[in-house]
Amino acid sequence: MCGLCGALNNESHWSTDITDRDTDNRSKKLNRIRRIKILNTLFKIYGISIRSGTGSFYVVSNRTGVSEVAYNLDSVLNSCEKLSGYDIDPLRISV
Amino acid sequence: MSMYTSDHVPFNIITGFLGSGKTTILKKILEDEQFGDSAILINEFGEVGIDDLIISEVSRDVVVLKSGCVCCTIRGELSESIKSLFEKRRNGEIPYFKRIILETTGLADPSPISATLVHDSVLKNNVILGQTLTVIDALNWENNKNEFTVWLDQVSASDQVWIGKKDLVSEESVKALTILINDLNPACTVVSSVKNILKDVFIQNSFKATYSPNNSENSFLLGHESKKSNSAKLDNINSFRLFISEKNFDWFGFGVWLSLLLKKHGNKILRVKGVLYTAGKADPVVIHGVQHIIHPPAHVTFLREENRVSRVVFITKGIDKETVENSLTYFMNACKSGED
Repeated sequence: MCGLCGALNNESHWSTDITDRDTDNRSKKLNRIRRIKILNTLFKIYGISIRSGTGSFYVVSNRTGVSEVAYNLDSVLNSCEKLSGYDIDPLRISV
Repeated sequence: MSMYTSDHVPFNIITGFLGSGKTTILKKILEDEQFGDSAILINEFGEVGIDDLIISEVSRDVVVLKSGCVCCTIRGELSESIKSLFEKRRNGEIPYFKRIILETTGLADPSPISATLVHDSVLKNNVILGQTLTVIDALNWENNKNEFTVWLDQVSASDQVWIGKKDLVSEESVKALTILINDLNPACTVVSSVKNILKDVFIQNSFKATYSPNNSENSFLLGHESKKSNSAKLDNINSFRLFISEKNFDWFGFGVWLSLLLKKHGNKILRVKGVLYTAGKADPVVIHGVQHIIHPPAHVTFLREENRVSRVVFITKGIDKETVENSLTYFMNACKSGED
C-alpha cells in the first residue's frame, strides 16, 4: 500500500500476473495502458469508460458520470455490470 | 515467468464417490516407497487401516509410516491442516516431504480445494496444484452418476482416473466405462497401473508430467489425436477444443473473456485446460481451471511446437462449442479492432 495516499499496489489477477511479473516498470505501464484500451473497446457498447487511477487501481464510469474504483480485472468487471445496469454475458454478445 | 518456483510443493488430490475404491488405492499408496517423500492427508486413520504401517507417532493426528511418508488426519479447515504440515516440517517434527496428497471425502466436489490453494495468501506461495486422481466404481458408477451431481464434478476435475472394482464386472463393461470417461473428460487418462499414478512427483517436473506432448493424457489438448468416440452426447455434457491462430490471439482480451465467462457461467464450465501462444514470447502459456477458478498460468519452456496455434479444451454442461467459439471470436476481433 502507498504510504502517502493509501492506494493498494496490487492488481493481482491471473491474466495480469503472468505479463507483469519480472518486467520493468516501463513495460508494466505499457501493459496497463493497453489493458485499459482493450477494456474501453469491449465495454463502450454498455456506456462504460475505464481510466487509470492513482497507483494501480482503475476508475470505472458510466454515461451519467457515476464512478467506482476497482482494483483488478475481476472488480472492474463487477463495476462494469453494476454501473451499466446490464447483465454482461459474453455468450450473449452478438458476433 | 511463472509465479511458481522449485520451492512450491505439488499438491495432488485423490477423489471419488463413496465406495468407489479410494481407500484401496490410498492404502497401496501408503505402502509404496515411491510415495515415501509425501505427506498424505486423510480423513480417518481407522478407515484406511494403517496400524501395521506405523513406525512412529508424532502426535495424535500425525504418524510416520514404514514407506517413509507422513500421514495426517484433517481436523477442521483444510488450509490450517496444510499450514500445520509446513510448520512441522520446518521444526523438524516430521520428515521433509516433497509433495502433499489429499484424500477427499466421497461426496466432495474437488473444485473448492482448488479455490483454497489459489486464494489463500500463504498456501499460494507454498503449494502448486498437481494431478487429480479420481477413482470410479466400475460396479455402481451409473447409479452414482444419475443420483449425485458430484460424481460428474469429480470426473471432470480429474487428470487421471482409476477404475475400481474392475474384478467385479466384465471386461466389456470396463471398456465401455473407459470410453465414457474419455468422452466426458478427454483431458484425462485412465491409468491401469499403480506405478503410473500421480507421476508428477517434483515441482520441476510437474508441468512436464502434466503438459508434456509425450504424455498421452494431453493428446487431446494438444490436438495430436481425438480421444472422443462417436457416442451420443452425454447428459448435456460437451467436451471440445477451440483453436486460435497466433495472429488472432490477444492474451489480455482472452483473460477478460474467460474471466467474464467464468463469472457468468462458472458452474457450467466444469474444466478449462489450454496451451496459448502469445505474441513476442517463444514459450506458450498453460492454463488450467475448474469451474470458477483459474490457477495461475505459467510459461512452459519444454513445449516448443512449429505450429503456434493456441488451443483450449472445455468441458461444459449445457453450453455448446459453437456458442463459446462465436463468443471468443467476437472478443478477439474486438481486441484487434481496438488496436487499429
